[in-house]
Amino acid sequence: MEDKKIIELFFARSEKALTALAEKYGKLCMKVALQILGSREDSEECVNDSYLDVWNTVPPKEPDPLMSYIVKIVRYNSLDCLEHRTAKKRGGGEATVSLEDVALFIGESETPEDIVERQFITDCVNDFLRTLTSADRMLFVRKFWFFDTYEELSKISGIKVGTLKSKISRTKESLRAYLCERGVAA
Amino acid sequence: MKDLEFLYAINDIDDEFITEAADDERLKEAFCAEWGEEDKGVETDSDTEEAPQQKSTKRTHKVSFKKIMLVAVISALLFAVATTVSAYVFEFNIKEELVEFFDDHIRLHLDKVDSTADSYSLLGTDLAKELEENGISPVTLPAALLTEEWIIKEIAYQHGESFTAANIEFVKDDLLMALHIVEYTHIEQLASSNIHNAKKGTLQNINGIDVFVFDLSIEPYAKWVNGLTAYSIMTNCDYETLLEISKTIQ
Repeated sequence: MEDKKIIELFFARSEKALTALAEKYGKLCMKVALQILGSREDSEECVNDSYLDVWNTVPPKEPDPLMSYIVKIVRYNSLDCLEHRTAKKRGGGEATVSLEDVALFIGESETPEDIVERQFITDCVNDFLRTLTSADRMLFVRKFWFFDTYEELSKISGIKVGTLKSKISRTKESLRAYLCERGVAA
Repeated sequence: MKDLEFLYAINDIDDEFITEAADDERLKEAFCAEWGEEDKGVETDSDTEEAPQQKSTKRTHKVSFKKIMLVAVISALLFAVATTVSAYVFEFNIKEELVEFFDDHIRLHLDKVDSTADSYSLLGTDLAKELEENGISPVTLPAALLTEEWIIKEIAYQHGESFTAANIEFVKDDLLMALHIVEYTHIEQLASSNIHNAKKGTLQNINGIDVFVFDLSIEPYAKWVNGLTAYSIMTNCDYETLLEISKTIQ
């Protein structure tokens, strides 16, 4: 079903909106949640919470594109869940996402200024992404936002896994330097 | 925590980057264009399984296309004899400029449809007057829904910067018709519309307007455009009923 129509269903307060949303983006949402949380049960809960969040925000919001809207919510809820779980276990909860790949640069901070700092980092990352070629940028987003594996990306593109790893490694180094220059990196 | 902070930070990257990266074809093109042929090759165990799969997909498409063409010819002959109604079922009489077929959806080119009504004979009705008071006018409506049989259960309006929308729910016993009307400010907003899961579809010219009716996997769906206003109907009625109701658009 087209996004526009799903939004129309949300505006009409039809519960079919949730079914349509799940049919179209449920698989992607579960994949992202699973990569962050590693637990199917937790992931299902996070994804269902995310559907509810969409229900509660649309309307008045009219998200376009809908895909990034729902996945951003899923990512956020999953990270939030992981953070709580990790705090509870004091290091016992491990994300299954290949965190060695994203073990970047940013110092630990738990102050209320986190949100502001996070926004600043997001702005920096957006600026950085604009400096990349299309291929480097798309690879970065697929790897760290969609959590695609190298094998998946290799299958889609026909590019060797080794090449993809090497590209990502270089992009990470460039990002590290970019953030360092702006006083973000630890 | 370091990792989490990073993942949080990139959560809200610009939508344009996400949309760009989500497109597998675009990704493939960009990778190949920038990194060239020398880097091609999939280093996975399933490498050998992939190639036959791709071939199989292509073959399936070919067969499907032939079947469609065969059905198209036969259906066209039957259609020419059996009906005098100005209607086109997509499989055999496609106005290519209006509809584009993809593997998983159909794209309607709404900027190319007939969208000027011959007449507006329902402007005197209470519903048309109310819609006008709320900024949506002139309207084309299915006259069949304005009879005593159907009761308007609810009307909800939505006013945006570049649109005014109305959701109208008609009920008859346990049947529901949800008419969604959106009046836009710019014609560009009506350029195209994607339809997923269409099992069959009919295009009719009613009152000078091209009206699409689809049988989707979830429910039947009708769509038409009149000037800057787009209309759609979702219903729990069957496809044929929606088809009949859409014929009364005035």
